[in-house]
Amino acid sequence: MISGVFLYNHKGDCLISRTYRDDITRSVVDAFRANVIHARHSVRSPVINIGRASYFHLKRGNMWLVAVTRLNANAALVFEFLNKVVQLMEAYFAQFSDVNVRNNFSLIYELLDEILDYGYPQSTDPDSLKLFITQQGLNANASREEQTKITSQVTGQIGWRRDGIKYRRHELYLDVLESVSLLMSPQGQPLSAHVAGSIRMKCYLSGMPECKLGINDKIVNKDGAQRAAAGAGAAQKKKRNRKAPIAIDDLTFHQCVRLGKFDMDRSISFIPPDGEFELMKYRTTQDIKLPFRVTPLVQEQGNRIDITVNIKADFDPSLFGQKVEVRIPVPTTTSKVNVHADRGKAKYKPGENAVVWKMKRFAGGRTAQFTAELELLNVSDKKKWTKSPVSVKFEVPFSASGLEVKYLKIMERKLGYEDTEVTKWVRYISSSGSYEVRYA
Amino acid sequence: MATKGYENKRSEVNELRTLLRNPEVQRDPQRYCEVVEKVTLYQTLGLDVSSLFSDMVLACATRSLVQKKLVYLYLCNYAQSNSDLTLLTINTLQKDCRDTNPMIRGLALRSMCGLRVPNLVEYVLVPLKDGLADKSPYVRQTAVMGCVKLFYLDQSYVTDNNLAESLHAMIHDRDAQVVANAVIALEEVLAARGGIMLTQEVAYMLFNRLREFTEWKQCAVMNVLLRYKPASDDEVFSILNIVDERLKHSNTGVVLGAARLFLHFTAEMEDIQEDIYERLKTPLITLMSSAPAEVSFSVLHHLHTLVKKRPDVLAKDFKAFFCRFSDPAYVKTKKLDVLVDVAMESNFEPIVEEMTAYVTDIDVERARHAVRCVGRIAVKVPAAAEHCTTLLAFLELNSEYVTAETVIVMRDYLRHSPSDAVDLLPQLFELISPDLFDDESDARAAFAWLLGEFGELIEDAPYLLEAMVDDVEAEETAAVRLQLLNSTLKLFFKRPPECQKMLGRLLETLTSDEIQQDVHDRALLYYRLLRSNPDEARRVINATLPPILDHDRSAMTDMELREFNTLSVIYGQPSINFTVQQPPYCTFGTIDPTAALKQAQQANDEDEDEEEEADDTPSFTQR
Repeated sequence: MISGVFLYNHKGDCLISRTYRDDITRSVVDAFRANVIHARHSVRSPVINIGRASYFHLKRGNMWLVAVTRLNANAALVFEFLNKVVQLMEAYFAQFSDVNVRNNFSLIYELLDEILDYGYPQSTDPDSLKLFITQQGLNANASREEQTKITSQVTGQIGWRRDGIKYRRHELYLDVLESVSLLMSPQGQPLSAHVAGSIRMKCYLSGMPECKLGINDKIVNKDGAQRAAAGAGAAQKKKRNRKAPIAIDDLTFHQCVRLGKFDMDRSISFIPPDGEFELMKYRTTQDIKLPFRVTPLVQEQGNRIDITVNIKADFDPSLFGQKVEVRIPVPTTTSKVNVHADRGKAKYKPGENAVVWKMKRFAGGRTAQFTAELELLNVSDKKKWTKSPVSVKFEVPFSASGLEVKYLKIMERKLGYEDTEVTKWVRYISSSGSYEVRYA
Repeated sequence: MATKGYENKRSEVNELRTLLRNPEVQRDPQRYCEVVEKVTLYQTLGLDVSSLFSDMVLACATRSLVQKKLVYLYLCNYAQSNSDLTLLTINTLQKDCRDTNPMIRGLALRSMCGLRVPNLVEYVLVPLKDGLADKSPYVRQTAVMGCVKLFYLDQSYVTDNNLAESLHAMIHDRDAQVVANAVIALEEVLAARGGIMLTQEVAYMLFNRLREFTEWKQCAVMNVLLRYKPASDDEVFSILNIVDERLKHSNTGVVLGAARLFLHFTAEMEDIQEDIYERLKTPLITLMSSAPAEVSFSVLHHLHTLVKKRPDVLAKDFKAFFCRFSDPAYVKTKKLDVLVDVAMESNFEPIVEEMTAYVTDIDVERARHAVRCVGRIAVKVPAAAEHCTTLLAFLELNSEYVTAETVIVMRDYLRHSPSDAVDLLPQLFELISPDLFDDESDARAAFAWLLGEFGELIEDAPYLLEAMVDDVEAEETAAVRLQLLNSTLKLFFKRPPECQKMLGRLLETLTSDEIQQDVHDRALLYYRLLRSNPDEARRVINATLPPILDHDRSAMTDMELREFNTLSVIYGQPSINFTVQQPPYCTFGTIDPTAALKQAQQANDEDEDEEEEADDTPSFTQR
């Protein structure tokens, strides 16, 4: 599949080059540098074909990560893989940067050797890789028993969890993280809005615990039509009417969740990996509680522009929004800016052509107003100001989709500790995805 | 250590050799390892460190796992050019293959198979066979891949030693990852025979164990399973019920792999197609809006394929394709294309409105693209045509490139439905004049075309045209000159008294043109035609234009559906156009080369008459 993986810095120095198959030579290193990194025009696609070889590339910070293949490969798969490689490197040395790559290059070679065999991705799970690829290069002296255990985790049935984990206190943290995206028309109508949520779990549990999670999911049986057509009578779905159930458009789960069981009775049951992981991802588009309403107003008069932005927090008064930041773009020809905000701090950032208005805390139900008077330079060619949208960043401790964790039960048959012995914590955070409001 | 090496890299190879041979260094494991790391670093930089081979061979006798790995990496790179010396390492490698640590056994086996020295394969056989029967699954899966490596080194090796049979046996291994690797390996080793034999028993076993494989191997195995031929519709449904849960996986590769199985197995069942598309679209839209940009980009292409096949299914989801400010350029461009294809009677209004917002984008290329898209929607959806006033509104933006692009789009639209000219042209000509697009030759040509074609509807057409004719000497582009010639002639037959003089002047200028042969020849042809037989000339010049038909893209779309979840969808080309070899694992979907070529040519022809598609087809020539 993948014939080679290469890593460049922004100058085009090749820092890591690992070839897996004989169908490419070192010349691909130069071909990519010449055609993409040093290309005169910015490249308009993340996949390009040079000399009948396809180059998949992604740029993170100022690093380039490239995979090359000559086959008709699965593009999405390769990109997913490259992203996984970046995540892996971040798991090992925090930031994926030029210096870190140079200082850890032997480690990276070790990783690349392990995660791809003859171009086929093997296992990329950071937790199990970390057991035998360490920055110190240790573990050659581990006992025979441990060695076997490590490798069996790499391949085993429950690859994500090893045997014999023990904790004195059993704790479990559940984070419901949602990123709210909104595109609002100048008239105040949402053009599109969706919530991309994920449930992250951090668990410190002994043995092989069976977990069962319940959420307030209205069973919109979207796949029912297909299943009925598919002729299988597996649609044993019951409508449970709980308080304010929500319609989830789509769900994806971590490898550990028994998908078959979920299909049968919508129960989410699994044996969790040790430590931190992402249990599920979901997306909703209906009945989204938009935490902030923003109404920008622009008045242009010759060389003066007045901008007024009103923001209202649309959630329970007992909650506080945090790190609220409104970014109001201004024309490039702005010469002087007077800002006034009745809450928080607003500052003009000439380098970014925007006024940034920050508020540390924002209680539910409150409103805030901001005004800016701009003076423009007298420029001969009167180009129209291309208004990029006002964007908002925030963090609010509730779930914008309305998702709620109903219960999380834990059963461990062998060690036999009780569900009640586990301390459980649940936290909801909605943060902004791309929350944009267009100017009138 | 690494950073230091960069500055003075040239002179260092000799120094490294001295270091590697220094007994003091060899006694200090940490220093020894650092020197080996340095060698690897130079190797990465592209320096030739092959002269250190014999010293590196000695360095592989070490307890340090890191050093071992680096030395093996070095060996795999240079073994081919030092085949004689490589023999020296075999001993150490064989010893490592018998190590108590499965990690080391696996590593040694992987490196041994990766040496690529044909005359050493005989030494690999025993460790390889041991590896296939090893008690650690890690070693087994490595050994399985080793078989593939040796197969490419020496094709007869696998058959001579009955390795294929051993691999077949391993399909039923206890460990799922070994099973997946065995399937992958057999697919390559048996490519000449059409890959692994998928009996019902094997296929069912793989379908049932699918969830046990790692995400990457699920993709590979699903690709193999495409070749399986279910006996009945009921069988298809029970298979799809198993695959269905894969659509909930968070890895895009897995979801698209499952989607391909769905599309492939139900390709013949017309009646449930709509349900299938309905089922597939939701997970794909989720992935598109939540995955990293590059992944999102490839999902978007696959969604586009689905949209092209069945726009009705996704018509309600058009909002998912609205651009976000933070999307990278390639995603935005593609989203616009998808919006055009998803537009229909029921949803065109918000789409056109959204496009209008992009016309004011700072990125010139996208603004132009948005104008073109509005034009394409107007052509495609008859009801949207009334919205051509939207197009006219673009002209009031006072931006040169938007105006230019709008004129071009107007020409294309009126060429498609000339009957609307009566309503549109007067408004259009109120807003434009040729000096608005001094830098835009295509727009000038379009402007001239409108004057020639609809001269009878525009009162001052001759005068507008005359201004351009007078400037023809300054006009550099051949296309505009040719268009001017055509338009003047057309207008001449419509309004002879007003045009005769300028036609004479134009013909004189152009026939004396000696640089642009094409222009010269055409002018001369018309001149002679007019002289010999004016009636014949009228017939030639005022020939009715053939109506524009929406060209049929279904052959392309079907190709994309057949090669779903591959690069073909991204490039919009059949795989034959951009790969050298056929991947062994998708032999099922390959089209016979001649037909594919024909299709490709057809596709290229289509590209030529549709400008906007030309941008996103990749160039396959080395620049």
